[in-house]
Amino acid sequence: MSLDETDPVQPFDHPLTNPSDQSTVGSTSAVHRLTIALTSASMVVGVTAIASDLEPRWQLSLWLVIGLVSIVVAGVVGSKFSKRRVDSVAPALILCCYVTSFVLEPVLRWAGTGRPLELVLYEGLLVTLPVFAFASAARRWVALAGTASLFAVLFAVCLLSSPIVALLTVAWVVVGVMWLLAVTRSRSAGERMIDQTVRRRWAVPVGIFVLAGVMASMSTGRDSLSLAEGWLSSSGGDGEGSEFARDGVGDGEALVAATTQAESFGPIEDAPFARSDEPSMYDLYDDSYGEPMKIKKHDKSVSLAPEDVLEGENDMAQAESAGREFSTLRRPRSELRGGVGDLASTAMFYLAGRVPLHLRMQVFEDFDGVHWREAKPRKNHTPEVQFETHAEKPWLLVPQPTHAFEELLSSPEAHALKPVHFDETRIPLPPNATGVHIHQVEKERMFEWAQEDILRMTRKRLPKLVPIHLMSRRVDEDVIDNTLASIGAGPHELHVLPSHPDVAQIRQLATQWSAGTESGWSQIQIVLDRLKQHCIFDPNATASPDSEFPVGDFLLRTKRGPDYQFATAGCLLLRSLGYSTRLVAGFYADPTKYDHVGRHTPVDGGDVHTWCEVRLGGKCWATVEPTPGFVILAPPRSLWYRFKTTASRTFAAAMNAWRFLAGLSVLVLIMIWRRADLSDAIETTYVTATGRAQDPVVAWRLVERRLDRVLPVPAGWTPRHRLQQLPVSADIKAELDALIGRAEAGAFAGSQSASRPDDKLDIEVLRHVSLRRLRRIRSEMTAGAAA
Amino acid sequence: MTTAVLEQPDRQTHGEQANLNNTLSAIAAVRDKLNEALRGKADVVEQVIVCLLAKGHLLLEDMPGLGKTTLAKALADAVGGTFGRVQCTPDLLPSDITGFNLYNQKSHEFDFRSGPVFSDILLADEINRATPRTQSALLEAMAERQVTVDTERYQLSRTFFVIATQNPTDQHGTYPLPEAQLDRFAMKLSVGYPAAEDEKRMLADAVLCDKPIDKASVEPTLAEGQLAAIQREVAAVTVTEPIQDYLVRLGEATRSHRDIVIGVSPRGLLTLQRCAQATALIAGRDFVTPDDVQHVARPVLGVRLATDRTSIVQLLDELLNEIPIPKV
Repeated sequence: MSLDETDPVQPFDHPLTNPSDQSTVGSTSAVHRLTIALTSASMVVGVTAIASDLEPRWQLSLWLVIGLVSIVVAGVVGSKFSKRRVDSVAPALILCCYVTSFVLEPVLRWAGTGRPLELVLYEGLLVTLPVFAFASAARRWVALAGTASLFAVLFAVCLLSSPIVALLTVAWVVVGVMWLLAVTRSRSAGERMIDQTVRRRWAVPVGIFVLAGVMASMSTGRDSLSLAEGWLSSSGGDGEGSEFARDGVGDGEALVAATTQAESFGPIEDAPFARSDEPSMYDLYDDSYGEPMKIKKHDKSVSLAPEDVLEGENDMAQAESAGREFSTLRRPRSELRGGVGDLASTAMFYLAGRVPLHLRMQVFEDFDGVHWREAKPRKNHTPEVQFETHAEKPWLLVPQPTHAFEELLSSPEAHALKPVHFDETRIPLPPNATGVHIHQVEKERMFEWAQEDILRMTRKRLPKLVPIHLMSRRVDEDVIDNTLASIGAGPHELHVLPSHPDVAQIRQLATQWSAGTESGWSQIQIVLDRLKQHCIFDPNATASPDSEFPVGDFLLRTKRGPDYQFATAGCLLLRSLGYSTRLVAGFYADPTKYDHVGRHTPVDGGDVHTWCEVRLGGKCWATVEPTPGFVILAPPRSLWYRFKTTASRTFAAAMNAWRFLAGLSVLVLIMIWRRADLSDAIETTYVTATGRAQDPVVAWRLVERRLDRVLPVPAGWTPRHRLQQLPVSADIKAELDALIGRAEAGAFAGSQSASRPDDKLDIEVLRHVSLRRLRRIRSEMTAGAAA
Repeated sequence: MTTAVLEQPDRQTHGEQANLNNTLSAIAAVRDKLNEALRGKADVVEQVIVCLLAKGHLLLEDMPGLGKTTLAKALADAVGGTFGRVQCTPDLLPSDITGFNLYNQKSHEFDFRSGPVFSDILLADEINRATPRTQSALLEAMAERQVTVDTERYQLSRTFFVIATQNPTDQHGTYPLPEAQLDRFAMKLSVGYPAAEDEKRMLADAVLCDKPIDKASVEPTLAEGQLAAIQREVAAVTVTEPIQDYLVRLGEATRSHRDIVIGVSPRGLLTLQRCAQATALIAGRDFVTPDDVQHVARPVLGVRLATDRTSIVQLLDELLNEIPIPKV
């Protein structure tokens, strides 16, 4: 069966017309040859996809020739071998070839020419293609060879979308159709495997499972590929850095500023601006929250008992000096022209990386009861702008907290944002940022610190369409309580409470909510949780225009308000418990807006958000979220960590309900142990109660299942054959024989049943061949065999 | 399905029952006669009857002197037909089997002198000693139930039944039957040596009787045309779809088995089904069960499978154990 045999399609090779030819290899070799062609085609597609960018160009041709020659040679060698020999060596060969790609990788990486994981996997598959060409000489490997070939082509198409790959794929499809025809023809000529009729039971559940998985992934309404994000190690998406990755944010070399297609980062063409082309942060506050009201300045106050007044309140006057401010007394948004609706349809910038993410734009420390004042730079806290080069890229270094907080912070994580319509000089920075990088920007004078932790560029606005890379660390809440003895020591201005009668009530509320808890992170969480339950989040709620202390109205009376009221309330509650807090305004990158196709999150005017930060000490701030519905990004968790957490939680829950679980376990164990008796009892009761046991077919099936459970026999044994071997008394044998006769008449007599009206079935037979008796017979048989 | 029939027993069913009883008693009579002629070989006799009722031909492979001829003659006597016999040798010509045209000088015409195939039961002894040419003449007669002599076609008996024998040892100077010809036989049986008890009784009988070999000279037990009628009844026995699926599974398994060089042909499957039908009728049923198929599968498949293994019996046992039977 060499390659140059006759025409592969032989129309008249049916065994009936040519009986002596049915075991010869005419049709098999046609299938083999077409399988070789199919694997060759997929090899061409695959090699083109991964080697098309090799320089010089002749390398691609070289790899193509190597691939094709090895497939053809392997195929010819396979046809010279006996089928049995091919069968015996194929699995080992496939495994060896596949593993080669992995074994080679460390060497390549050492030599500096490593490949990303997906290419390691894929090239392993390409290397096995010649083995499949070899193995498909034996009929049972043909289907697997076809599947491998299909997978190779699918991967290639996903890897590189170029016209040449598309063209080659079409060619592969043509070969594939011919291959399918040949396989079908050879099957109809009676080459089916004996195994196919016997051992395919698993195929149905597996098929259903796969189908259900596909349906489930489609029903989520997301791109099904996104379900695997973070689980499949690959280029991009997992946040892991690798210098061998092909592309992706934070993977390998930093994302290159768009050179050929600047606006490909996000779909901005379909997002026309209605009014204000590029809003500034203050425009956004006004659009989102409503314009601040002009209020009368007055100092109405009620005198407090000395013990109710915090020392810090006296320092208020000293802190009131910042330039920009944030008012908590605002007009309803509906009074404004336009509104955020216009802006919400358009992204101001796109954020790549994990979300939800809080991005700081402004930090406020002093609160006079109505206005938050922007924190002014402190003395000793005006750091220099410094650059450091990582992987040949200039990174601006953000000052870091002392080593004491090292354990609290996860390893740096990458995000990238790309301003599209954003008229701001401040860079939206995630909390605990460590570095900022803009391609080719390495001059210190391009940046300056606008506030503590707020970086701005010394130009009119952020560069449009240029990606800004951000590295930041997450605070690990799980270790705060363990590592920090006390939270809260900080400058006075972070403790100051405004002077208003409501403040005493707020302090009382905080004390009440935190009663019975020790000072620390968990206390902060408890107070904020109570705040979330206490008030309702309503973005459109506004304070009454003549309110002197809007947050007091919100917290104590209306209990309904937007996020800045929650944030203000949170700050005041925590300050009254002695923690250092500040109000932060900026953006909340909403995970529900994540675009799974573009793999980024658009941030628009509707994402303006206000929240609190608690000072853990030094320069370390922890983001806390007083507003319901907003989530703080947790540190990236390893698979082991997730497993560990789930396991420990499950264990704790199990310990709580151990009596119930123990009882349940015993019950389940008993049910598993006696499952045969249980299901038999249910079945017997059912068929007897419904009268179906009168039907000999039903009765025999029941008996047969009992026999199968206790004394299984090969699939080819007939009921009578089995009865002959059964060591039971002659009476029972006769009973069973009669039952079998009637059951067979019911099952195989067709429409003219051989059953007679006088065939009264004795249900006693069901009792005579009970599971218990069969078990006794079995133990007697084994005892006899042992003797 | 069963209950519907249970409630309406009609006259036709009773008529059929009486008919079936007649058939069964006729078969029992044939069985008794054969058992009398061939002592202690009830299972062989059973298969011979199946083969006869299924309109198949039988190949007996055994040592000389085990009663092959006795069986054939007893069968001819029992079914009441004529008996023909050919002793195959290398110089046997096709015309020795089919007959030939002889010029009649008186009438100036060719008269046809019929050969031994013009009988109801033909014993072709040591068929593998005949030349392939002669073998194929016989095989045409077996397959078509007709012979062609000098362009003239002659119909054979409707119940024409061939028992061919061959000797498994002493292969010198023989022409083994090719697979295509083996396929024309319904089944291959071997009689085997009788048990000690039966052999002793046989010896005792021989003392009383002058011609122990011709013990089988018995009265015909079947009325004229009864065999053909029973054969028609056999063909009408119900085979439901699950049973036919099982037959197809068996066939496919023989074709894809790695130790079987040539699997069963569609004609072989037809034969298997017909033999299973005959078994069912003999058992008094008008439908086929998996037991019927398995009962005849070994002799029917044994004659037509070419295998690499030394023992086809073991191979068939494996196959029948592995292929799942249709569940009740």
